[in-house]
Amino acid sequence: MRDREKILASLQQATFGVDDKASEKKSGERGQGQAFRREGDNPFSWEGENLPVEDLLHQAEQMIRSVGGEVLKKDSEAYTHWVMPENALRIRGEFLVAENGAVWFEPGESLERSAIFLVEHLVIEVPSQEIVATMHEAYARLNDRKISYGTFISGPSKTADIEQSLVIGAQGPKSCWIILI
Amino acid sequence: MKHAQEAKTLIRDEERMHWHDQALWFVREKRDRAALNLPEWETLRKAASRIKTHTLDHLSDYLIQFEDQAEKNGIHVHWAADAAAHNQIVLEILQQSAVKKLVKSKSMLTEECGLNPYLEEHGIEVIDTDLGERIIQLRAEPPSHIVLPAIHLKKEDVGQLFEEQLGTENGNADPVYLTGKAREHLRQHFLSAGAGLSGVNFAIAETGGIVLCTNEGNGDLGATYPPIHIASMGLEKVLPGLNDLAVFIRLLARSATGQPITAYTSHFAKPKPGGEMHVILVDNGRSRILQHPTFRTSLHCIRCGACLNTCPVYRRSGGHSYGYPIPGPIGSILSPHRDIRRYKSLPYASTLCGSCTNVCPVKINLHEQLLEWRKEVVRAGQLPLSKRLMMWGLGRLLLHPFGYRHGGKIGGKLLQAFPKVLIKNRLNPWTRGREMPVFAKKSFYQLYKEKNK
Repeated sequence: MRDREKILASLQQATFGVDDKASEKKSGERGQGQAFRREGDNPFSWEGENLPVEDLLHQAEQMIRSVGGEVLKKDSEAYTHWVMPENALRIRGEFLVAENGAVWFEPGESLERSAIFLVEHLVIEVPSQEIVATMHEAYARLNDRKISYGTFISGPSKTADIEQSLVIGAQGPKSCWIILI
Repeated sequence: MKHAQEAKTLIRDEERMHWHDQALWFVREKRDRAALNLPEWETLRKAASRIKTHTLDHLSDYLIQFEDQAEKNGIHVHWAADAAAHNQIVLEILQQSAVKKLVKSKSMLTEECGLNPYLEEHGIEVIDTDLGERIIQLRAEPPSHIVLPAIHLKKEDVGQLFEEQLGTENGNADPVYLTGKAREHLRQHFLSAGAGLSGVNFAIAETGGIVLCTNEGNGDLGATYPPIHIASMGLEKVLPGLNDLAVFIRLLARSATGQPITAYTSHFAKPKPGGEMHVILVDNGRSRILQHPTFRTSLHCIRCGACLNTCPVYRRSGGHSYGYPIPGPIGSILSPHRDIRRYKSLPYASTLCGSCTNVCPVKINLHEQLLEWRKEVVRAGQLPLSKRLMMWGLGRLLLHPFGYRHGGKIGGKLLQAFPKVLIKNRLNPWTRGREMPVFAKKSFYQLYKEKNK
């Protein structure tokens, strides 16, 4: 018997858990290998307050700074004086997540996936109106999409592996600039 | 292997033990701040636990769905019944493309399977690229924590190691300097490796994709730069869909290090153009654990390490005293499945305080499972002779009304009559590092009788 069959047979010997009433009804369908959809939605429903974009942006900016990133508004004094660092890559992020300051980015066909990790500095332009409050909304946005590779980027690379001292700039980019456009 | 014995290494060095304790507690405090920042924290924990229970109830269906979707997207899906099968599959993939060097990001599963020594035996150079993992690889020792592998080392230890192995400046223990040198050293390996291997934080059945949550960038570099990406995952890592993933992404980093999210949360659903991607689904005892009504909840684990950070025993004994790739409370309930004889002391390396259960983001009842394992140890006849004799003796004494009522009083009087010599000796391990408690002058039974005369 191939390992696949061995494993599936072993899994099917397991008894049901107690919590999920819906699963008991489906007992006849178990192990048929069909695409499985469970009844009802996710047990977690997050009714987030509908916060205005400015509030979300404010939270996002705080989060970005707290993880060692930098934020600039494109139409600002600070931006006109800002010089892009050498060995930096400028990319277009799609949307921000306010709860953690992360930006969703898909390189698509035009960029090597490894590019954003090889470079010394990362500059991410993202439309300031494209912002969601939590990861629930973020993934709801990505639900119907066919992603081949995408990543939520939150700040520069970092590590605290040496005696818990936080070092910004580990093996990926040493700095991360979010440019709000 | 006895945990109490192994723990002596750290405990002997009191200063280092306290330093280790504080370092881990500091991480626990960061987790607390992050968790308390979310009013919905407990709701998230409940949801995560329910999602995991549901997924485990239908694990074979979700794994088949994952395999279907992944293969449709060009990912090769392999199934490995045990560690040996996993290692063999990795080797075959590498040999097929004549790969001589593999870069690896952190994967506790590959530690469990003993992948590194296996590949090295077959002539493949393996470079662990996570900074903490690389440090311990160069020191030829196992990790002492599942998230912070080198937490047991001071920066001076790392400085000395790098001086010997990487040629860094003598006496320079600055973490920024050392990390910079490690970056240069490891970058060369990424650029010359034939393949990259990663773990899997979550696999999504609906999309056939896998998710990697990292901070350093080494995981993504290893997975995206070389032409071949191999992802090893335990069966229990699968989730139904992206909506479920959201709950876990919100819980994972906050529980592990107190960050709202890791620097990179990467979704791999297709091989890169011109590249190859493999996912290896590993059982290695998980399907058997699933069959056990009490222990199956341990498969909820998302390997965040929160239980390690809070455990008063782990904090003071260190990861190496557990003798298993995964230490702490979660390691103590997973390892006895592998070898109850070898790991029988681990369920006893606990005060059953329950702090682990309290912090677990997926609501594993760790301390209850530790107690259940103690019962299993007894059932398997593995309790040490001294304990067995003591339990038997005490049982015989308390069985009789006279013994039950007066045993305590007599025992107390004896202890007063023959203090040190009888009590504080090699046969009574309780007294190593402790004073005997003071016995009350009158037992409750005596007081009760007197009151009711």
